[in-house]
Amino acid sequence: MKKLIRFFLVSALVSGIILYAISSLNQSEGYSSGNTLTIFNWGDYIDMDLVKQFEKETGIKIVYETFDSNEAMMTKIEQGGTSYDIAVPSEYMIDKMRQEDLLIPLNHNKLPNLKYIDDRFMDLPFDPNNKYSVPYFWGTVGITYNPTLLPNKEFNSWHDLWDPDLKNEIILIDGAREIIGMGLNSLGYSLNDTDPKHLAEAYNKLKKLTPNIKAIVGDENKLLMQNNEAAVAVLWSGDALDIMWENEDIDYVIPEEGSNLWFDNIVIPKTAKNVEAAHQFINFLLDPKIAAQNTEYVAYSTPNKEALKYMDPEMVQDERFYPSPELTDKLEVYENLGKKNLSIYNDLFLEFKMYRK
Amino acid sequence: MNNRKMRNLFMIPYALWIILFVVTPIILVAYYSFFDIEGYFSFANYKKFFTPVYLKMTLSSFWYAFLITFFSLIIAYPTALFLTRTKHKQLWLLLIIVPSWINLLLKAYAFIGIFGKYGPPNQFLEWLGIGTKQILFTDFSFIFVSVYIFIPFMILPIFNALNELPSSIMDAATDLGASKWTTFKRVIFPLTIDGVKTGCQIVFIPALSLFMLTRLIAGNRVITLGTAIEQHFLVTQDWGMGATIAVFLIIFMFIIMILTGTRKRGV
Amino acid sequence: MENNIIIKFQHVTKTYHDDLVLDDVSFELERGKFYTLLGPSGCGKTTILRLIAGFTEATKGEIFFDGKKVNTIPPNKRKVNTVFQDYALFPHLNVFENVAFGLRIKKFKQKIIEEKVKEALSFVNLSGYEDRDIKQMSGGQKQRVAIARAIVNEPDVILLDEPLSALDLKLRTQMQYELRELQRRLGITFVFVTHDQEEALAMSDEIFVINEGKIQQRGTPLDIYDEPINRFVADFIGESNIIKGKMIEDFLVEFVGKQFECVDQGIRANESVEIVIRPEDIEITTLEKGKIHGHVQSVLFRGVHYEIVCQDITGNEWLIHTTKKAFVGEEIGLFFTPESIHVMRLGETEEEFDLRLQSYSEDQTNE
Ligand SMILES: Nc1ncnc2c1ncn2[C@@H]1O[C@H](COP(=O)(O)OP(=O)(O)OP(=O)(O)O)[C@@H](O)[C@H]1O
Ligand SMILES: [Mg+2]
Repeated sequence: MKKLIRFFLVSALVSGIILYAISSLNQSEGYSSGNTLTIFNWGDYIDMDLVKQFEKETGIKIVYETFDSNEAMMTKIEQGGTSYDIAVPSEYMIDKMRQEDLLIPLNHNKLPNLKYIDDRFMDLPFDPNNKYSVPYFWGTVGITYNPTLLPNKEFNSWHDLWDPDLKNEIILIDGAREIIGMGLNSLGYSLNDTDPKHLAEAYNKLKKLTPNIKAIVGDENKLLMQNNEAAVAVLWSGDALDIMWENEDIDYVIPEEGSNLWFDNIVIPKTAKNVEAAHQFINFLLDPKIAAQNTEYVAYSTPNKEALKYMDPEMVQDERFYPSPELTDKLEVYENLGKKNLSIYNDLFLEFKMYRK
Repeated sequence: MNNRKMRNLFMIPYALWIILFVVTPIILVAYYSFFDIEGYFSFANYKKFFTPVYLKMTLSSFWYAFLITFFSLIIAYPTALFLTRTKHKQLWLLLIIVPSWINLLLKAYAFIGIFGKYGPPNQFLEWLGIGTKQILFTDFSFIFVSVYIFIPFMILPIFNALNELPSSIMDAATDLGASKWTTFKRVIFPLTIDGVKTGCQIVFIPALSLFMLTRLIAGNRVITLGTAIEQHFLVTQDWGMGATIAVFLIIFMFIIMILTGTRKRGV
Repeated sequence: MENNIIIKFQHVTKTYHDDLVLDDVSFELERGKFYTLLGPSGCGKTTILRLIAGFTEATKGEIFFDGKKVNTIPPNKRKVNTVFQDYALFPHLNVFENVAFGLRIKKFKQKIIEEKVKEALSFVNLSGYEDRDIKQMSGGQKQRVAIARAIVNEPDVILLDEPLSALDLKLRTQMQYELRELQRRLGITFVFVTHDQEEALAMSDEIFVINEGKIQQRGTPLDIYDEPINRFVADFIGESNIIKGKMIEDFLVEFVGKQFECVDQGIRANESVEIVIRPEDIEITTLEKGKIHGHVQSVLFRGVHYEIVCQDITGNEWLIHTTKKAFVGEEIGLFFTPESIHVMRLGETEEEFDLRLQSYSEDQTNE
């Protein structure tokens, strides 16, 4: 009994000390004080040298925090505990955040560098007139594969996945839009198609892929590809890049039938306390030279047309990440299909996952 | 009178806890289950549950939960029996329990490495000349890892039940002519059946709603009711359907509890 | 004679991790007798029972059952049944099934099982309790179920490990009587363990007094009570006055500075000995008639008798049980007959003791 009491006392004491330490640390970092800018971004998704440069040029102090999923980010912003001035959601999240009234409209007058963004990437369905967001980086969904594990196999089309030789070799992302979209794309339909007949066709086509599927996983796909655990994976180009970073054998291709075009975007969330500095920072990142430097660091595809001029030409000419105009035309941004249709997608995906050969 | 008042006073924290963390969530879950994805009141979710997709899912959840419980039991019972006969049984027990303190995600990741193409089992198969086999993302790996994770929870109640058996009872059975097997069948097992029931409950019910492992170890080739709930709440945001599945899970749990409930003997 | 012997221990030694628990124990048990193992806690009584039942193996020595060596025969193959100290009844079975357990294992027909169980239960006065739950039985009833569970198998030997220690005095006395009755009716060998000397004296045909893993003395209750071999036995079997003395010659012993006539012989002259006189063998009398004088220190009324403690001139304390009353501070005379004086040699073993008694009785018959 004495021991138990001591245990509780000690744990209470330790928690108290930790709480105090956290609160005093927070204060010393000046969360709530004067001219600071709090950024909420994905991990390792900006060149920190640029952050320092910005601090030096403007005298604004930057607090940098990271998240690892859109949902986690949105939850924290909804809670409103920290006054984030900048966040970087993916495009499907923008719609949701707008509906939940979590975004502050951008003042385009304060963003003169917006003109450097490629027109193709402006005024997209998820944010008409870029009222709330500026594209930060973009990418595609495609096929990642390991040629050393699969000599004499070439991947150009979604159809290549249905090759009987690939039994048990393919990893798919655990996402209904991506996979059902792949099914639709492989049949030549739009990945925003909601025609039940087309969806049924796509489902039946996907069922035939089952023997080739090794697993349908989340973030673990990177690990599995890097370690040669699987030979082929359907994933986002961003993840593909990360994998290629670790394992140089691996290659990536955007299937010729077309695919998804995704964006990560800079927004100013409702929690912002320093809207002025946020605009300043966004404009700073849109500067072509700055954007070029940032892109060379992050290595994802930049929507900043002017920035391409300052970048390593080899990177700009890589068709895997800057596809040709013909192929780019076939890339589609996910449209908001409405909850009803989304649930149809989800049910089909669930059914597909449960399907066994 | 005074005594009863005191007892009621002591009941307050318990009652509050139950109301806040058991009753309220169940009511909320039941409430949500009556809203379709667009937020309108309807029985659509219940109708949907009785479609082949969800019935199949229920069936497979039960099947996998059964397999996990079954294998846990046939491994845990002899282990517990062995533990009670060892000299430093508390130490051995601790060694078995310690892994359950490690984060589940960590263990799952470890198994991805172990069961992978280049993991020790496959290297062994390679060495035997059998060649690399797909172990990860199979029913086998899923059940193996689940059993590994649940086994301490099965061992503990059985161990406690066995440990409470006075050794003289076993001696008495042998004394009356029972062989080791008969002693086990007629005395030890019946007297520890409550421990077995508790162990099965502790394993079966969470096994019914396993998620995470279904993705990490089974590569979503196994879909349980738990996986579906997770998907509906986190990914598809179809809270109504998620809640409906949860309602059914709760119903199943109650049925299982009633079926395996320990009836009080005597009095 | 030999085939009347059911159990035989030959130089049996038992150690637990270098701990000597039984030290070269030898004895024989005859059929149909009531034996009691008597000794203080931890002396090895249960160990002897466990060796007979087969729950442990002897470290050294041989154990015979009905003339056959059984050292390594498992308990389920021995015709012995045990009534455990804590009864060890099966809590998940009712009274009937507890008693029927052994019969079911031997695959008797249901009808025979019912008959036998009924008989056994009536033997222990528990007819009609068949369907009772074990938890609903009282301590005495449980103990009787345990006995019924043992006798129903008709073993050659029943081992009872302190079966009465948990009962209250009244029930205990009643059960002592019932047990002895039962043993007479069944005619099988009972080995009964207790550390209560009164219980042992009341029930047994023969008593084994054990201490520190050795049998100190064996014999009928009367033998042991009247002729304790050493201080330990004398002390353990009832309260005693034990005084240092010296043997002068046969039939003459000296203590408290005086010489007294006694009935012991065969001891060297001038050998130091110990004298035992039972408290109830001492009478209070006048100073003139008293063989020794004592100064009364305390008087306790014990119901049937007074318990008086007095001190003699050399400082020895004497315990006296008498129906006569004395007063604290009074000088009284103590009287005892030569037969009441028991002379014990220091360190005499059981064999030497028996030999001396034998020669003594031979002498007597020769005379
Ligand atoms: N399994 C065992 N391991 C080690 N020592 C043991 C074991 N069983 C008994 N002993 C020791 O052997 C000695 C004799 O034990 P035993 O049980 O025979 O005593 P007992 O005469 O029955 O005592 P009690 O009257 O207290 O029941 C004790 O000192 C005990 O500590
Ligand atoms: Mg004992």
